[in-house]
Amino acid sequence: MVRLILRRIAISIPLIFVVSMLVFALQSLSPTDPAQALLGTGGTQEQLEALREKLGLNLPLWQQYLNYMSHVLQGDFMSSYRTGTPVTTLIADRLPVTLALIILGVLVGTVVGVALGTASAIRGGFFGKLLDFVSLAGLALPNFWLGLALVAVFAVTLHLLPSGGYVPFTQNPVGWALSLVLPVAALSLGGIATVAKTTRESMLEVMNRDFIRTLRAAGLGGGSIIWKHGLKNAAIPVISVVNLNFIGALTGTVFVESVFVLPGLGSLVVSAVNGAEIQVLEGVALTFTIIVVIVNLLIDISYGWLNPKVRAA
Amino acid sequence: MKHLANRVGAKRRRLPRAGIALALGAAAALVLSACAGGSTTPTGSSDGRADELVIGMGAPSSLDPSGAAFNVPGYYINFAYDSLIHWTNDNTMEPGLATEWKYTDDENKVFQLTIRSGVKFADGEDLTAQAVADSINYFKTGTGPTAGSYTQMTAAATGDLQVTVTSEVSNPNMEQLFSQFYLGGDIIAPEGIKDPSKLTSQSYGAGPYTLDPSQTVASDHYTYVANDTYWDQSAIHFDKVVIKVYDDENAGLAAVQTGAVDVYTGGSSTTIDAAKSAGLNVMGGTAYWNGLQLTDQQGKIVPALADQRVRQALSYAIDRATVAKAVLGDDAVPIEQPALPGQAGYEESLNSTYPYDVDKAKSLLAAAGYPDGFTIPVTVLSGTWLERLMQAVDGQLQKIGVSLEFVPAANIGEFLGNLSSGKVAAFDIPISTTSLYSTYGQNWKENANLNGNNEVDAQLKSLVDTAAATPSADADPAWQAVNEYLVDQAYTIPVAASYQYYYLATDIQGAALNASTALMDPLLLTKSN
Repeated sequence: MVRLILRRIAISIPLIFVVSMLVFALQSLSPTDPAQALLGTGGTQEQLEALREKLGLNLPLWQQYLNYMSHVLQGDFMSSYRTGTPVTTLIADRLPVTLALIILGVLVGTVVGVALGTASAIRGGFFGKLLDFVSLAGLALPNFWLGLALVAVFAVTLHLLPSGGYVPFTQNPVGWALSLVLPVAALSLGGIATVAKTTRESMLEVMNRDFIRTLRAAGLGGGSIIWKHGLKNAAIPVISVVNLNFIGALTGTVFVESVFVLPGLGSLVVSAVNGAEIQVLEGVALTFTIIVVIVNLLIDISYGWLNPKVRAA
Repeated sequence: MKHLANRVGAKRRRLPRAGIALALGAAAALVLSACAGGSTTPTGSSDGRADELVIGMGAPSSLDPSGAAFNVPGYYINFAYDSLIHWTNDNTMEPGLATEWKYTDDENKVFQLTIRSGVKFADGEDLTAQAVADSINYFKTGTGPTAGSYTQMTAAATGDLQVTVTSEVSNPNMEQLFSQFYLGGDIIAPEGIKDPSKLTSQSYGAGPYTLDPSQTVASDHYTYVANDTYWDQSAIHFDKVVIKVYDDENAGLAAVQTGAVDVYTGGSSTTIDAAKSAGLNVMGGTAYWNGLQLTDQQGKIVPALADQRVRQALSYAIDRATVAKAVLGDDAVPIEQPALPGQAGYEESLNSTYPYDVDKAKSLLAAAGYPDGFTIPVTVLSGTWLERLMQAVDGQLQKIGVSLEFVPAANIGEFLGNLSSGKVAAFDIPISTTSLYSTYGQNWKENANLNGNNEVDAQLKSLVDTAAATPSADADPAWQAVNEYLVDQAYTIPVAASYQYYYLATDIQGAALNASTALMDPLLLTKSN
């Protein structure tokens, strides 16, 4: 286990460098000039040139990157051009919102998906058709469209839930929960579809195995066979899909947070792209990279728990 | 599937535990939503103020007044920073932090203000003439879109409560520039100027409210609390004002409908019908003019545009009434001049200079040597009503063989980059400046940001300089001369004056629009109990 963790950390260091270079390079291709984005329409060319010099934007790209990385290696992720807020503060303020959204979205997607997939494998009939419908909807409907539809129905028409905005848990736990119902629903539908389909296929395969027949012959109850033995053995491909859903949810937050006006990292990315704020984009990209590394590590650990052969290897 | 079901056993008829948990959870969610849904009705505090006003609008460009955007985005500054002069809704200028002001010369270059005595900044420091002068001199070094309007000025404390602002060039707009609209008159305390980095996250003003950083999340919501040391306590109507960031217009409209915000400021023709159908209070006024704004009058990119007849032909070819109504709705007003009603130099008769006449347009093009037309590269913000307006204009111009080649821009930074790239000859962006002097400074002056190809007309400059040096009371004819020249030269092809819409909850009172800028002053808003 310790070796696994150390190996992951060792791999993540060069990964972070590669990601930072890629983000820098991609952002440099953007036609948006951060100085012009800041100055807007009312400034003069002299102001523009002075601002570009002040922000170091007149330097060659490689020099800008080295300047940035030298700050980062000293623990300074720099500040937003626009608001002057340190990038670490921006990320610290917004990370809990995105994490809550992603964790809940993946959790709902997994729980509902597993339940639906299992029911479909065991009972078939109505559940099978329901699964087919959910799969189609989950894969076909973009989550930002679904978000707008949910707002129109549950917030604007029925006044059951808020249309947007975020209430911190510490301010009002009930408000916090309500502010996340619709965004989590929008984010989780795709996950429900993929988890349910994978669960069904995996359960069908597992429930046909000899050891299940043996357990049944031994008089074990149906529920115990399905949930304790069947599902545990069917879980590994499902866990892989959950991992992919988590990564997909990271990008999904860009749309969902914009639709629901949530102050998370996804909406921060949108404003940073519009303002060509490279230091903010780098900070968010590095944060997402670290999250993905941690999640992959947890997934690997869960493989070991589910399958002793993996543990031994 | 049936064989699997048979194998599981007879206990399948019992509800699974997961199902019971789900049912209970759903019931709990419904109970919770019933208990906690909707917005809180303010109860009002004992001092007669309502609890809270919530405004939805776009994100600020900066909380530092010198880096902030003006017009509606100026709300972020106006709540915490009082201005020297208050520009009222009926277009008069009232005392703010300054009680008197006047030009002391004949060329509109020297402007003197008397500062209100006994005023303190929110941090307890006294408002002095030196503090005001330092604030103005700091503001002009900023990166905001209006900072450039002050770069040729220098402020100095010339008495105990007297500040004199000297401009290198004639500037007839000093009253407006030191009002709350352009932000240069929003005075910053010495403590804020000592360390300007603090201005991006805290307020150092003498305004009716102060920014509360502990209740603020950058780019999400900004909370302002009542300033009990403000010199005019009767102007404070709320204990707290919260500005929530809504970059999406549909989300902003939904927020007003559901009670998440009391006012949304970003309405446009895109959502106005939905807002009216929803029964919201809707206010709007002509805040901008739009059209095909040429940047290549010397023909460096599109040689045809160097000919006045060609530019006039473009103007004759557009059926403004049809385009305005189709794209901007019933409230849009066709316009043929780069000024709005109420601005110095505006003449209603100029809106009849180029009546829609395709044959006339074709004959002008032919006389200029372009019977087959040509192409104009134009840049505009993608996915906006601005792009739809230009597409409609393109459809009109194609009747005379002229077509627009779109160079898209995803955001304002990209738009300005396109403008100065040397590859576009026209653009469209809403022009919301409050005078021809400001419009000239933004669009046609040397090195102006919207003068993408930096083409300068000496005759135009001369007319503007003359008008700027004329005392305001006598300046109308001079500004009319500027306007007539611009219309005659067709340096820009205005199409319509468009509305800025505000959507308000039904319990909001006191809302009114400035007669000149169509800007709603949020400090006047109150709430009915």
